[in-house]
Amino acid sequence: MIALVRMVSGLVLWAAGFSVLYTLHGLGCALGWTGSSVFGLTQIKALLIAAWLGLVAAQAGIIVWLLRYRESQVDRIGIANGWIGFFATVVGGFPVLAISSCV
Amino acid sequence: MKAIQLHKDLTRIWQGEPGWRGVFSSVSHTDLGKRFIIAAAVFFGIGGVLAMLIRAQLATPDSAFAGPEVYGQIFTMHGSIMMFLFAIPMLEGLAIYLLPKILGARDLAYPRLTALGWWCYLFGGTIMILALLGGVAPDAGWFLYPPLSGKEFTPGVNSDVWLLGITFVEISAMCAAIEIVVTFLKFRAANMSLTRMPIMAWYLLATAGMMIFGFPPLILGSILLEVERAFGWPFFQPELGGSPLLWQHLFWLFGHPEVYIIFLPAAGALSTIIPVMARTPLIGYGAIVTAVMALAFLSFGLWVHHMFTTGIPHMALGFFSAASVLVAIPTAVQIFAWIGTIWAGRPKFTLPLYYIVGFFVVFVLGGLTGVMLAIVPFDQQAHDTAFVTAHLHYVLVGGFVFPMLAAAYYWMPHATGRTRVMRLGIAAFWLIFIGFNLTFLHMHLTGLLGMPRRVYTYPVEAGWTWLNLISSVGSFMQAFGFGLFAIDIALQRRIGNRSRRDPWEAETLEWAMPTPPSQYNFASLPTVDSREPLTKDRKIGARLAAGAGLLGRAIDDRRETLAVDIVTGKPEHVAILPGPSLLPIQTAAVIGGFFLSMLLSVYWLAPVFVIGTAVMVWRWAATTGTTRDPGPIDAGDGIILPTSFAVGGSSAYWGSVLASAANGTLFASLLFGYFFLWVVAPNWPPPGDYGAYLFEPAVISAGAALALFGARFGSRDFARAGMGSAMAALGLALSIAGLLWAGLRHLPGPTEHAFAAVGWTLTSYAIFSAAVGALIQLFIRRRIASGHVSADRPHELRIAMVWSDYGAGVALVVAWLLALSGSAL
Repeated sequence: MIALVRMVSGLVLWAAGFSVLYTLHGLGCALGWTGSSVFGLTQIKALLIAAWLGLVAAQAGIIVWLLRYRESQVDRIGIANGWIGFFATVVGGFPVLAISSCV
Repeated sequence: MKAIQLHKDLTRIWQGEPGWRGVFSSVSHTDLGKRFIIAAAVFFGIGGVLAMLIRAQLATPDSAFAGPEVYGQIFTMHGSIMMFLFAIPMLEGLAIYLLPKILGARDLAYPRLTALGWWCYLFGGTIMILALLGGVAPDAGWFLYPPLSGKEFTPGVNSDVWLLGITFVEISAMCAAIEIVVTFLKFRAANMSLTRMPIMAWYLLATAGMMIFGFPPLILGSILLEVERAFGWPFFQPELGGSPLLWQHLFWLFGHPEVYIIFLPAAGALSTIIPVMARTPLIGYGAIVTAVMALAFLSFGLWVHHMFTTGIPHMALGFFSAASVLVAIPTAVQIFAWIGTIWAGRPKFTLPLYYIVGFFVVFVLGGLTGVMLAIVPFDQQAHDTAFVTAHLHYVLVGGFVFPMLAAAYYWMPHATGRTRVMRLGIAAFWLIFIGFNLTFLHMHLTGLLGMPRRVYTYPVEAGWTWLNLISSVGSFMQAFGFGLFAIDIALQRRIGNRSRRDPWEAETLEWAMPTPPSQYNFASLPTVDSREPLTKDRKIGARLAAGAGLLGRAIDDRRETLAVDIVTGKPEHVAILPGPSLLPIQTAAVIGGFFLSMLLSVYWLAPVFVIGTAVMVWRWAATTGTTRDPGPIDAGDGIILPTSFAVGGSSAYWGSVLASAANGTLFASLLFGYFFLWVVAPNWPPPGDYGAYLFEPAVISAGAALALFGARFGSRDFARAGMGSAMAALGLALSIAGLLWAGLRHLPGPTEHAFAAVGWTLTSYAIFSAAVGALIQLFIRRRIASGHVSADRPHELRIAMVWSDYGAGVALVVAWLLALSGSAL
């Protein structure tokens, strides 16, 4: 069972990360975190960028963890899923850099 | 002689009851799978007739064929039938029929649950069709957006028919999803490790997993909208703190994964059929499994692309737009793997391959327009136009109907033991393929020229006349094609020549049995050492029929099949499955009573059926298990295994875990609704005095703690298990009392404001969950007293713990959420 969980761990983390970004964005806009913070960024934008970078780092960490198990095909599928989760987090969260937050 | 005697003995054990009683009591996955498929095909025919009525109406401008009221019912029912009564049940039927056979098992994990799902589907679908015949069918579009579907704009029962009928049908989807996952995990041939699984099994696992997490938001949304319509709780009314966008979120949280739920089993059929037709192994097994897993997850991040025009901030649109584009990649991986397989092989251009080629053309076009619609500016131009209608038909017909037609021809010799008699199938293919493209290809242009979806007519000045006329001609051509297909299949069933076993020279286990299959599938169960067991050993079917495999004998009229380790496939125990029973149809009838009493607004009667359902489930559970452990069983080949009665990791435990996962998704969706309204809806919370309170949540927490402790009290010393169950039930009862008291003291009336409506919904859900947990703990006390649960057979304690822990957990979360929300206001 652990092997199955490991196999989808990268994708589970992507799903959690996606939910975190969407929730933070909704909360930040609703609660008006639009004042200026660091480097001229709004509070919400700074928070979202920090969260996104943290999630990308976590996805990278999952890959490093998954690379310790590579004997079976299930393990190798898990590694591929880890890379998919990483790539999806990078691309899916990219709008935090490029698009205005609450408009 | 030994083989014939074995066949007779197993037939006696596995066959259903005779006569009409057998029709109602059958639990055979082969019979029920075929029933699902045939019923879904009938519903497809009804949906198809409605499509022809739509095209008859739109063929000419200012048509008087159908007025707006009737047209509203026609297009709503067309979409609803095709999605809920055809596509999902068809994939369920395919999975129910096929899964045990491709895994080398004798039946699914829960045969009686399969039957319950069938009857719920039949009853729910019948309610919807009767409403259509009675002129009170749903008419607010297949996604039933409020406020149009609300009481103000739909005062009749039309929307109620959808909400109750579809929810009734979805019970069958949840039943099927849970048993597909558990069957995949546990009921396989010996040594069938995860990487020796047939590719179809992976697709069905992903599909079932998506159903477990995808359907609960829709079920919740339907409950909320029905409660709003029936009792005036204003979840979706902005003037009372609700939001119609909440419905859209809940609907599309289900609705987009639904597209992949429909596509994946069809893709599984393609991955199975293409290598056989190409006479070469499937290219990229690992890449395909990876792509399927990725699709199963990524498709949950797309739902808002159906809501790009609702005023959501641009950054959020960016998240969903990116995910919508990303999901094309794993889809393309499969497409290229299939093309590569055909390229690498020596394809036989038989009828299934015609439909597969049709799939490639139609589905790829649908995928490309899907990528176009994933781009926000384009979607905002094309939204709610005929372009979207064309796109979704290319995706769903290309991604589901064409593969299913290929699958029908591929597996018909298996189901009937007969071959095709005429060349009608080729003519049917060309009529369907040309007719489909004639209907929908230029409908993209109709949409880009500005024709909205769902209009019942249009003026001649709009310039859409010839486009619509061609679409209508094409749709009738398609209808002739499907008619020919139906005739071809019926002829094959009735007068086809006897087919030899494995006529396609396929390599998966379903062909290692006589066709049509017997009720027990395999006279003895296979042991496998590769993904294509028939490649290495073409005589495996004959050897299994002679009883040379595992469990190749009949003892004590027990229905036995093998349960294995999840990862390695090593034999773990012998599962004893239940036989024919009237409990499923009786339970479905009682559940149906609840839905009908709601539909007919006889609300006082509904609780009676809720109690009736609980009584039926109690009776059902009471018929399981044993008071006498049969002891270890010689499974053959020197393998001695315990029975399912004696092992802790039984399929019932995994079923409970998965049911709790689905239940938890519904709860999470409700919490999402609470927070969504909190940040989005106007006037939230309503003016009033809502201080934080601590006494009631403290009482509820004490009850939950007692329940958690009591459920574990007997885990080390079985002598204390009865006492532990009583403590757990008492703790949950205390939590229920606390929840009720907190609601009455602190929440406004549920019709006053959405805040109160959601608060009461959370409270009611927590009470319901705790009550289920308490009832199960009381049931366990009875089972201990009757000897069904003992120190040697303790696994029901673990199952009860899953349910009572869930009830306690929900009570805790709801109690503190509502108590502290007062201070956050």
